[in-house]
Amino acid sequence: MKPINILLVEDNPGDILLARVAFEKSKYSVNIDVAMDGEEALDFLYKRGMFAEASTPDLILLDLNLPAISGSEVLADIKNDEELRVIPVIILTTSQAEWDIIRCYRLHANCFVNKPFGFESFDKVVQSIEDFWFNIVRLPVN
Amino acid sequence: MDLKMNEQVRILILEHEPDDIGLLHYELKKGALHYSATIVQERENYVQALKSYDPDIVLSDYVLPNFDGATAFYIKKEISPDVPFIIVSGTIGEENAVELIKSGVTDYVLKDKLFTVVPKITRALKESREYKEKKEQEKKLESYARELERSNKELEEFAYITSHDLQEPLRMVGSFLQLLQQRYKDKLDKEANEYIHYAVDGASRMKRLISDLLNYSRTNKEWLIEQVDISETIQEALKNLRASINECGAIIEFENMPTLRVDRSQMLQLFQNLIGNAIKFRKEGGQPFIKITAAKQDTEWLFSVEDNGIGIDQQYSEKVFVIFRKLHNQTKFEGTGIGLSIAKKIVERHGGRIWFESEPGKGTKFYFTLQSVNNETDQYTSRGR
Repeated sequence: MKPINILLVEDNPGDILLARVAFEKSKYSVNIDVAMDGEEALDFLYKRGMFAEASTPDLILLDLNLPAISGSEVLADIKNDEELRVIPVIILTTSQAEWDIIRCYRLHANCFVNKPFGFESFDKVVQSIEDFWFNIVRLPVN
Repeated sequence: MDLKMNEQVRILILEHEPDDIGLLHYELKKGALHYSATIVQERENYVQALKSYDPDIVLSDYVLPNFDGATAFYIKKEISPDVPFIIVSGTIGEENAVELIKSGVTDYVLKDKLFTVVPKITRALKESREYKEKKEQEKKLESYARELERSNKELEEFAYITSHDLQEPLRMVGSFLQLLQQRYKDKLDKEANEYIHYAVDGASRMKRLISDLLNYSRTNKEWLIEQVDISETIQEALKNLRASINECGAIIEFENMPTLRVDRSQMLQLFQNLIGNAIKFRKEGGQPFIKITAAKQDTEWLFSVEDNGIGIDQQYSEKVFVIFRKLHNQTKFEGTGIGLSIAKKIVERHGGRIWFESEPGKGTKFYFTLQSVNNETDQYTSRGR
């Protein structure tokens, strides 16, 4: 089976590790690429510079609170691009502000998820993401 | 307040007739006024004196050779707006005088009644001093109010941002401790597992405190006033509390609830906190019975939430409303101690009061007042980041 490519846009090394650990025991073959800020994420998606050989992800996990170019700016950029906009973007953030939620959906985020407290709940969230996006949902073949 | 007579009054006199100047001096001295005077006749000297002599009061003739009292007044208004200005004239008509006073001239003295000049000066100075003091106080009050508003806003912002940003590192601590617990349970001994247990427990409690703090500071931020049927609010609160209601078989009674113009989600939080407390602080093994009433009193409604729980000692009547203040230890009743402080904040924000009556061992009755919020300026919605 072809591996599922996930682009994780996250600046906190702890969260990156948590995500890697949670996806490790996946029954799917998952390949995680990490961008640690908004600029890197856009370079990766547009295959610029050192990312010329990057593969287009099947799913994007996007943190909102990023240095310089914020998560919502990255989201807006993705959803404005003819080709990139088909990729599901899951917002993964600690923000519980109503305003962030509505703003992300207005920018066409595919779903908005709060980073849970504790590894067990984090694990559960990752499993749900896998189950829904890799199993139930049909994604476009790129 | 009396004018201090020993203080020298600086008088600027605008007059060209030497005889009139003499008479004026005579009256001022007769009136026992302790003064110094500068006498000018020309416009240029007058303007100069206003600036450099800095008079306490101006006495001006109405008709001057190439100048007049009215113009002198408008010049004074420009340069020293708070200095009283009295016209001293033999020719000014009653009508003219009224017009001048309407436009701001302090007073006028007729030359044939020159003996009134000292009382009029004294009164004008007293009034101008009072006016100045009042203005200064208003200015002070205004600046206090602005400062208070600013520091309140800053404090709210601070609490909100701090609690938000504090969650990040704490989430790391909690998550990795759990991961450690999950992955290394079999490799560590009993003691090590116990240590981890307390660390995980501490992190989760800290997390609750922070999110409660966030909640508390949010009570000041988001606010939307609309018609709210309080009985619907209570129904919703009961729905949210279903699990604990079912667990102990609590009975909740309420009737005749009003519809008020209030913030819907804050009302829900208020009733949920009070009913939740009534259930939580029940007697051991007892079945909670909770009665909610509402009665109209003048412009406001008096609500009560009464329970048959463990009660609160009256000596804690203030303390129970303080944020994170608890009367029981963690093992007996869990929680951070935020519920009543949020309830108080909500009630007060709606212009009401909250208090309780209780008999330990018998039950507690919480009272609070609410009224429809009508002030348009209070109705805003603001959102944090």
